[in-house]
Amino acid sequence: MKKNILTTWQPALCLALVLFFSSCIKDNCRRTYRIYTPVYENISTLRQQVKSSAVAPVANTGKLYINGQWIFLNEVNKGIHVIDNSQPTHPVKTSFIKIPGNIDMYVRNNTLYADLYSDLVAADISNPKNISVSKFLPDIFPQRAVYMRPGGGMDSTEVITGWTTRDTSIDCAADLSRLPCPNCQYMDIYAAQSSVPAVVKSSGVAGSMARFAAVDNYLYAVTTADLNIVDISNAPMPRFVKRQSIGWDIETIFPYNNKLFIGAGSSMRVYSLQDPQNPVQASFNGHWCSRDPVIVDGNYAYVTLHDADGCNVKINQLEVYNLSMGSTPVLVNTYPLTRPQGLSKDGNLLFICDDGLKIYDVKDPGNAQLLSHTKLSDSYDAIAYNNILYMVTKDGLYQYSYQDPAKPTLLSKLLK
Amino acid sequence: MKYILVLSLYMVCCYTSLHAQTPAQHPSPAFHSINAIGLLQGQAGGAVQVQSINGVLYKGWFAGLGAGVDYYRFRTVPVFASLRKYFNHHNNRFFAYGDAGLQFNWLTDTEKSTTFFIADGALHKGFYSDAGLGYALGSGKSASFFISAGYSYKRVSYSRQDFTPFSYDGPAGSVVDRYSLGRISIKAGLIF
Repeated sequence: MKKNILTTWQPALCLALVLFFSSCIKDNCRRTYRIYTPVYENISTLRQQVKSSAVAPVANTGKLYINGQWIFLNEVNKGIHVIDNSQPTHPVKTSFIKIPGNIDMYVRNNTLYADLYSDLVAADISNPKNISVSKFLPDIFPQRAVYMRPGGGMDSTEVITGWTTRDTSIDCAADLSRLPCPNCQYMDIYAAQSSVPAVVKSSGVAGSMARFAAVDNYLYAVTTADLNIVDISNAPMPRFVKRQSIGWDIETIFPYNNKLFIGAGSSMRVYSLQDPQNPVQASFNGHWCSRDPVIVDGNYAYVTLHDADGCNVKINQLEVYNLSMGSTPVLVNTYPLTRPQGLSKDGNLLFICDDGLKIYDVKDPGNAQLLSHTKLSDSYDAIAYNNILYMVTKDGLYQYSYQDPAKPTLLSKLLK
Repeated sequence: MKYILVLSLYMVCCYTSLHAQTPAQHPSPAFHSINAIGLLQGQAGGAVQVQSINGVLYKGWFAGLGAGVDYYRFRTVPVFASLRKYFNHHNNRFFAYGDAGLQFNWLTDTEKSTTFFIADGALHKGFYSDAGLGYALGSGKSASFFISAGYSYKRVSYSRQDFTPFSYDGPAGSVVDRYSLGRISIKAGLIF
């Protein structure tokens, strides 16, 4: 009988013994950080690099600007592709304007305004194959310059042109206590231990992601925190007027009806241009932390919000505001989207870069109707102009005819 | 080494307590389904695991494919190949087993809501394995019961971007945490 009791309890004792020894087993964690170290270059050296060159491959598409038959497509941090689009079905790359550190652009009267790291450069592009720089305005975008090198004191001549990377690993076992284990609730007995011929002469159309906008004789350029005002009445020789602080996390600018609509990380701000040299904030609409280009047409503003780094909430939607009900825009309606980027509008049609191209009928902005959805990967910005929808994606530039918005027709694509 | 010692100790204990042996022959390949529920015991405490392995038994060797649910640290779904060897043809017999494959993430709502899993972070699939020894009781012609003990390992990586307040600050650094989670795996179940 005594032997039977021992035999019955022996497996349980064995199990207890094994579980006891499980305390010897530890969970491990290795954390690998990718560290970026800046590569510095002297800005005077970079200024000498601004010139026309042969056509270049489209590799890392950025912002878009349309000026008559010409398309200007930014190659992020490298320059601008000049594309002759006299035949939308056969766009032809004409030249590449090399501008180190370029992200934004604006064109007026054969003069191109573009950022070159911290500089604003003005260049005559009447012959895109042989442009000539007319002026550099230094320190317009101070956020893109490095004035203080580690241990080098004040130095305004160097900018970051690249990054070198290296990985380093550390033990992160100490963070294991933060790792949740909501399901480890049974027998928790040990847990406590543990990017030509003459260019047209008028202003063009910028995309909704633009940071440059011009109204009359002034070019307005936003940085992440400031609004720069540049007098371009003498187009080839721009003159810096002033810089004024307009908040934080500023992303886009859209001019309309003598006002500037500013898209910021957590708000839409409207500035009045009654005094063009001294814009005054007319309204402020806070919204969820997200990335948000804004466009305006008539009495309505259209804002797309998408989730982004630094935001703990995931908001992906179109917001429509009525601007005619007093000084403060009034939210009319919101429409859920996948992860919207740039947007454009032509008549009653609203074009949104969202999981490709979505076209809405916004005859009644409070009741937008989706007409078509063309799936493309990583669409970034769009411009609807003269019945052609220009859209930049990670792959390149697409052109669509939207005569039948329910069934947009692909005219051409300029890919990598 | 310590895991081998622990398992050896367990097997010796089992051998001294379970030793009734009756012949059970498998002359031709036969389909077998092994279904088990068990406990995963590690540094984080105990968690439940459920598995189903289906395959063929022939001359004392079993090979099959399995899938299950593993609740240790966070819920994952292991999908693996399994191989086991029965040491004799008796009704009650020892066996050794080895499972290897991938585990896929299947976070519960509770796990998703924890601050650890920040926005834009991503949990990735990883390696899964389980090896050990066990003892089966029964004729083999109908359902038989088994218990086993082994060492189970799952590797999980979690990647995320470092927060950069302004785009001009440069590329966002990336961080990848690789968790190596070891557990004692105790299972009991039925073989059909």
